[in-house]
Amino acid sequence: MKKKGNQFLLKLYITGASPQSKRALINIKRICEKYLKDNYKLEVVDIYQRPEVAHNEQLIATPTLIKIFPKPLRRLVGDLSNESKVLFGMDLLDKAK
Amino acid sequence: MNKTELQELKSRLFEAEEALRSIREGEVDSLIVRTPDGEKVFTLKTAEHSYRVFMEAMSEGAVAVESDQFLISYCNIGFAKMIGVPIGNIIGESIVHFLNKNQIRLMKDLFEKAKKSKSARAELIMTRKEGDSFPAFISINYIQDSSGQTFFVVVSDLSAQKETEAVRESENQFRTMAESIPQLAWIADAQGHIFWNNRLWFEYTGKTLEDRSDWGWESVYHPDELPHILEHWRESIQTGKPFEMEFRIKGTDGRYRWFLTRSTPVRDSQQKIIRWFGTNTDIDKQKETEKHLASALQSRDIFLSLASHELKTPITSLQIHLQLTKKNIDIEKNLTPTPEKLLKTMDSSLKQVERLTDLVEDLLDVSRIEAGKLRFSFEEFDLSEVVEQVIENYAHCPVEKDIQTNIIGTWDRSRVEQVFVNLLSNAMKYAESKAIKVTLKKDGVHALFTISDGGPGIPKDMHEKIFNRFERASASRNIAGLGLGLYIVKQIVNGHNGSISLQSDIGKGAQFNVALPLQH
Repeated sequence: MKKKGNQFLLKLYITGASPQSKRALINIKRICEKYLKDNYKLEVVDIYQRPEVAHNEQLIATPTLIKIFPKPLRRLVGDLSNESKVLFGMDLLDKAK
Repeated sequence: MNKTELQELKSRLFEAEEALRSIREGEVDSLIVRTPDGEKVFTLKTAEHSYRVFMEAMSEGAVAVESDQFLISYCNIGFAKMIGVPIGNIIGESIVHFLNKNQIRLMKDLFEKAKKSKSARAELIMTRKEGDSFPAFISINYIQDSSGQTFFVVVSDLSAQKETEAVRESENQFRTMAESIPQLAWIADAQGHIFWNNRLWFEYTGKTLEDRSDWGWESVYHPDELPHILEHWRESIQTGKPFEMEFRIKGTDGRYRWFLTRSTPVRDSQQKIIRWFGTNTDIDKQKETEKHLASALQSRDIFLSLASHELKTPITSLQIHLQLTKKNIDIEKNLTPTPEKLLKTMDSSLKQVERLTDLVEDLLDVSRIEAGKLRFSFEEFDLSEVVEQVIENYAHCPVEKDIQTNIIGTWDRSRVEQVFVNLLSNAMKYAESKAIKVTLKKDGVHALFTISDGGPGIPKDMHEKIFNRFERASASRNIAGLGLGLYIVKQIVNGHNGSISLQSDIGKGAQFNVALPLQH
């Protein structure tokens, strides 16, 4: 039985529509649809629009993907183009079997 | 160290390694650096490109203004287009060059406000290269960094929006007004298509929105005038000249009424016509009155020329008689006309004086009638005697009589006599030596009098008119008279609560029937 959505909560921090940010957005969306369909929530945060989050989340660069839920917190900097690295970094390897 | 802890450490290491690798390999757009003033985002050069595309494509103006002298350090194509100045002539200029003189203070205040609270916005009047002004919405963001203090200004041209608002506003005002006036009213677009009518218009024409055809509701206009209306309207649409025209519009009752239609163009600030506001004012009553007045004036003119001619004839012959007599008197030679000659002249002169008296009497009667002062003195007498007497005294041509005797009633003797004299002399004028027939009888409550002649007859369309003032059945010059006779006759008959009617047609002679109640 499929659990109702939003089991995974991911946040992607970007700087507007700049090239790597766009790439990261497209990549993570594809991965989520492939492995977590109907079972995740992806929030995209533009740090130009919300400068305060840079401090709160202790970001060092954009784009940065953070897995908020389930614990533990995981973060990944970069364009998220390497699917296996994303799966590993987000503790999603078991989903990929 | 247990397995879980080991796993956690591995993950952390992976995260850190990945972050470093991403930065090194250029997988990031920005670096976030912690400074004493908080986190700062440093965007990498390649990341700017897409924003530039945005900025250049938008129709709003984007301008970077340096706090120092308000110099423009950047502007997009949108701003250059908006003010009609090449970009090369904008960058390096002060923004105050592109403001209305009286707006400079406002703009500087706005910059001050942005400096204090990071952003500010307001409406201002800006100037184009050609010198004309336009309303603009200005949104300013203030940023201070190592390179200086900069205002980022977004300018939106509001003129199109204001124009639309103004048009809507004036249209609304017209609609409100149009619903409160007693005229029919409408609004047409620049091409002349009527797209709105007021409530009265629908009520008068009985049309509905579904009846709308290509040019409003053509079917409500009188077919005689429609081609001219369309022609005239097209001309106004093409030239912008106000439209003014009188034509008939059909009401729900099917009757066409005259309306005065006026329409004036409404223009935008570029003088382009955008709407036509129109009204139709009911002038049907005025038109009717005008028509009556015109025909009354015409009748009066005819009467005046007729009257002067009629009065002139007896006066002229009187003058001749007197001149001749005077010529035949010579005091020195003690010459006078013979008594016979004098008597003859006197008789002729008296006849002319009588004719004048009759004419003047008629005129006096008319003015009495007009003033409502025609009085009657009623007495009892035998009508047949009066008729016989009139025939005896006035007829100088054969009269066929059928007169019942002993018709006693109450009337105004002299007025009734006047009726018979008038009708008889009328008949004699037109009878052309044929016999005149007179009958008199009674039917219980009325005395019935008829008189018929074998004259040229009166066309049917004149039957009503001949009882009016100044009207004559014949336009022929050789028939004398003012045309007042039948009018006076009818007024006298009316005064007796009687009636007068006419049976006649061309070539069939004429018969007048008078019915007078026996008792007043």
